[in-house]
Amino acid sequence: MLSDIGPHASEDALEGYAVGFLGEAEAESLEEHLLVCNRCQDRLVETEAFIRATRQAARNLPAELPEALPARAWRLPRLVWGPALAGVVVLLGISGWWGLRRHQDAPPVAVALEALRGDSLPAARAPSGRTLLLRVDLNGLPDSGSFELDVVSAQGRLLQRAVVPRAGTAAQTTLAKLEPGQYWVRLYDQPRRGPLREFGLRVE
Amino acid sequence: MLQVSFSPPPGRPEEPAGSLPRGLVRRRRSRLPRLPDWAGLVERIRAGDPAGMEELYGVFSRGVRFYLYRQLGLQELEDKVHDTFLIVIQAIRRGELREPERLMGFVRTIVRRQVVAYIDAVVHDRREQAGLHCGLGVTDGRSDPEQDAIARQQTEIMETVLRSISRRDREILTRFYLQGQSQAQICAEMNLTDTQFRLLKSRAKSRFGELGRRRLRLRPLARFFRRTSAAPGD
Repeated sequence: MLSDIGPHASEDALEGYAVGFLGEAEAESLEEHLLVCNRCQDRLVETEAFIRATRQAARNLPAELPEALPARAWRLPRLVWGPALAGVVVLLGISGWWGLRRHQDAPPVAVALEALRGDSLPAARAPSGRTLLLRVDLNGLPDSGSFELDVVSAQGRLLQRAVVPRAGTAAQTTLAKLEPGQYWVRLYDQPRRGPLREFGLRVE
Repeated sequence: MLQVSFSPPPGRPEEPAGSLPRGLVRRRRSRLPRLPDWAGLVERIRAGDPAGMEELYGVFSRGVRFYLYRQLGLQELEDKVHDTFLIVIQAIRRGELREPERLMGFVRTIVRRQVVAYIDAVVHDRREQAGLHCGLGVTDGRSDPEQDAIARQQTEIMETVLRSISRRDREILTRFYLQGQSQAQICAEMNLTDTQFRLLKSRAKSRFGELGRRRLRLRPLARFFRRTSAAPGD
């Protein structure tokens, strides 16, 4: 008599598990299947390779790829130098102010902290001086409604603390701007008993 | 306390499944693994039958190694796998597994506990040594040049894929994979059906695989794209 381990995992399930969108019960069932199914282990590895490559490629590419502008023939009117110079100064001032404002109002940068160890992305990277939208992988963690998250410096000094609710197999929170350096993001259960998971975060 | 002497049987594949990927791998015929009857296996382990322990190892070793590798990296992986099997066998012998058909869930629970305990220990160590600026890490931060090269290759391939699709499709993939938005949210905001969403992802994956295989034919990078170990459970 042979034991039944259920069907192979679907592409959606593997992807949901890899990106942290799978519900706890589904994740549990999938993890059990993965323990004994070599084929699904390999498929998960492939899926994760695709996701990692997509994330990195999307980061590398500019948000708006340049598009060719139609050539236009147009002629400048005869300049009157005084007003033109004043106009340039005003424009520079406006663009400087606008640039500064854009930098200050820049949307948070999404950073995924994944429980994928020993592969090609050893620690998450994030830009300094920007608010970070942290997405923490909860795959494999106890089925708890919320967690506490600490951000500590490389020397172990506590810098930020937040309570993050579980959303499927991930949790999301916003971090204030960080200076360049190495940080550790630690996840604790609630009430706090001990650390459940720790992620490296390099701010550059 | 029960004393269990346990050593992995010879001739089993020892390579962690997590190191297999090398990116794109050829799809193989789907077949569910043949597994033993859990009740009989648990009974043999309880009775101290070495063949039962060997069978347990044969069934779960790759999966346990895969899980531990994904969570903790390569460091002391074999020791952790060995410890996990010892704990499983001792727990079964003590009668802690009341429903043998739940063996897979039982093993999974123990592996997860092992991961949590290991992380706890490392965090504690780091806290103790914080003043020394010690660089201990739970994350396996080693930079393997081969893996870096593979990752770079895969990223380049994906950049090619992203450049070749429309701005809207690129935005959909970026929202889902990079920004972590849910399928429901993206579909609602971008006026997409679930089928269109799946189709887009499927096309991107297929193009990624196709370009990877093309590179494989053009360059001597076979090892980056091939499966590196046999899968006995297939």
